[in-house]
Amino acid sequence: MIAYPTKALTNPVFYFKVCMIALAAWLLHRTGVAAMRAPEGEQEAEVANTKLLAVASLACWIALITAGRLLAYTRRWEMLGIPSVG
Amino acid sequence: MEIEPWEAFIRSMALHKLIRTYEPWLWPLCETLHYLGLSLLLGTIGLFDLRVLGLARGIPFQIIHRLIPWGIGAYVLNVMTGSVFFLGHPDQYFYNNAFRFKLLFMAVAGLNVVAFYGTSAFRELATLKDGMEAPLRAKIIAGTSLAMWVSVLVCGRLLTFFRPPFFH
Repeated sequence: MIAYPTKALTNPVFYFKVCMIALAAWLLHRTGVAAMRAPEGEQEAEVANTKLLAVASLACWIALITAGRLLAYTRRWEMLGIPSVG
Repeated sequence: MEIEPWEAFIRSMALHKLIRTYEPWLWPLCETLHYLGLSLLLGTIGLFDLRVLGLARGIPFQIIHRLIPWGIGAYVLNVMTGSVFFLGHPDQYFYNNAFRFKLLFMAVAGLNVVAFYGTSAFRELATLKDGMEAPLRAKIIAGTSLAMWVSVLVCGRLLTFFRPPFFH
């Protein structure tokens, strides 16, 4: 981002990736809180909630990795007339 | 540069032509799967290695070892997607030192797996109680595994920087 700010900041997928990072961090925090509150085999509702958070986190990471790889295919900075380097 | 017989053979394969025909979407798809695979491989096998090296001693080896089939699945996925890349543009990989080192590190990682499951190193671990320290032999194998997979990943990333010109 610092090396090629135009390249990163003109690509909508980059913003999606940033959002996914924030969401993943938040979900990790929530999962930690939920797991601490419901230790081994306590209230089923709590366990189900923790599992839901874990599934959401996994989906988030898959989306994050996919977006990261597709950055190279979705850049638009050349459209601004800035010559591409490297 | 003269085209060598092995490359001529790959380029005559129906699979090579199929990959090149659908390259615009097949390539990014396989790349994405390759990245998900490497994340899964490092996240499961690497986690087990770290446990053997002494991290998170509260978790029994047997529990973390249950993740290994996911690592094997990720390995298979990455060999398959990696083969798509190689068959699609064989010269880009064969004449690339980063790729050669990557294969070398993969081979060492393979021998390391044989050293772990082929000897009593694995059985020794299975008999350990929770919180006990792994024997030195298992630690050396786990350290080698971690170093090799990280090296394979780094070489993979460096492929694009050592890419030869398109020969053919």
